[in-house]
Amino acid sequence: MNGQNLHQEIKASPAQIHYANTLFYGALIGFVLLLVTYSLYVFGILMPLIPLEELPKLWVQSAQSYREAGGIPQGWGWLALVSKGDMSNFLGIAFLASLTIICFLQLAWNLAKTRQWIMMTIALLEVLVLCLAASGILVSGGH
Amino acid sequence: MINDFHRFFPLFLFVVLLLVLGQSSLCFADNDKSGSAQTLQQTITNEAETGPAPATSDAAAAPAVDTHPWWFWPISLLFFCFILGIIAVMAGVGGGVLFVPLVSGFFPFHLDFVRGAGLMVALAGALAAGPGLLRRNFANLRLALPVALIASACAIVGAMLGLALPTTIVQTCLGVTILGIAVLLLLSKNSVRPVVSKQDAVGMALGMQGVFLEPSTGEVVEWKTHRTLAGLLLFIAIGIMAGMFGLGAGWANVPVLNLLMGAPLKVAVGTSKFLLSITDTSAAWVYMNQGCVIPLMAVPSIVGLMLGSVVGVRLLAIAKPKFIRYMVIGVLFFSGAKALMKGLGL
Repeated sequence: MNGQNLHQEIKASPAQIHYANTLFYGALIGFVLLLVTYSLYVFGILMPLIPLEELPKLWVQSAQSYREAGGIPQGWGWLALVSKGDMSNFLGIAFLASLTIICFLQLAWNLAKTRQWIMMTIALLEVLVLCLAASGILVSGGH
Repeated sequence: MINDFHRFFPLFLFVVLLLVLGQSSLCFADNDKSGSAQTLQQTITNEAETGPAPATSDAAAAPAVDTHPWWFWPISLLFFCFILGIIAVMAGVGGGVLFVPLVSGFFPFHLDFVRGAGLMVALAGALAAGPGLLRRNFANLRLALPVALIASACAIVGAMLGLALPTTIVQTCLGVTILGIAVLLLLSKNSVRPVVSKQDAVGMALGMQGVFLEPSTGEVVEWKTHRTLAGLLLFIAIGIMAGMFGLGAGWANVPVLNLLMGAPLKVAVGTSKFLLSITDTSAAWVYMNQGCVIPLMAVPSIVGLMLGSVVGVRLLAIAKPKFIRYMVIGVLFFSGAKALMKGLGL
């Protein structure tokens, strides 16, 4: 590798820079959303699904007991209850957890433009894996 | 002596906090035993069916499970994670590996919620650090992409396994894993620039090579990987463990990328941190979909750890990282033993 190429290689690729920018602004929006919804929740501006005083009795039990006792929906069921203070927090959490999917879709597009087919295929497979995890289809037996 | 005090102040606060929380947990455990779990379950089930009972009868009917008000544990968690964030940065470990064993040992939360919050903590930290690492080319997409695909797919399997297995088994395995991590941290000697004489075919096909600028010396460093297939196979186990215990996986990513695959330490650390944003995302979704994320405890954990990390980076210049690293290894031995004993019912 000659000197000019080497110095070109030091810089992150345009695809990598695009990924970084989307991640930066997305994470910023996600964290702000998380703090706003949490404040609305703990300061009682939005009424929660489970009263705050009840939580210490519930968080000592398994997730299955917590779901049954608190009437917590599985998967994306929280969307229907998003007006409740505690459920509204999942807007920020789900946004942060979706960020990687958004970044990978953008990355796959950028890799396709530069004809990096192997990397593009890996990026698309990653999107599939993350979408499968996010879908809520995968439910374990519980304990 | 006064000059030294501020160096050890985070440690001092951490130890005090552990002692206070240890006392609170003991009180909580005693109350729990006397109150009986069955009565509590009945009370909660009744309340779920008929709505919360009036405050007066509730106090009389429900056993004294936890005498602290609802805000006590989230505020404790915020301070605890703030100190944890400082110490984690100084010791060069991710927050998740300390968060899960310590919070499951010293707070009353069930392991399911601790793992859910642990993944959110590790994910938030990775999302915050990712852009800077990618822009400086310390995290390399070509190195990360194949590894991330394997680790994230296996993290889903790990998360499902962890939620399906009995808590005692997961707790026991967590204890053994934490003890193993402590030994790994104690014995592993990362190599700043491993010598890779010839790149292997898999690494070459996947384009796992790159260049980065070493800011401290202004030197341009070229790197490539070897033993790539073995490294990729190890990420199956790393993904499963990350998902099962909600630990994040920086403790395992770095040695595999650096010592086995031959990536320079800075690239290995940067890529590992970036990898967490992908691996933990898949596991975090599984935990979230199963109701294992309680916002009241997850959000203060995230905020506390992130604020602590910011302060930790500033304190890094005046701290003695070697001492803190050994202290963290000691804490891991302690919390691993505690998790193991809890799992075995000792």
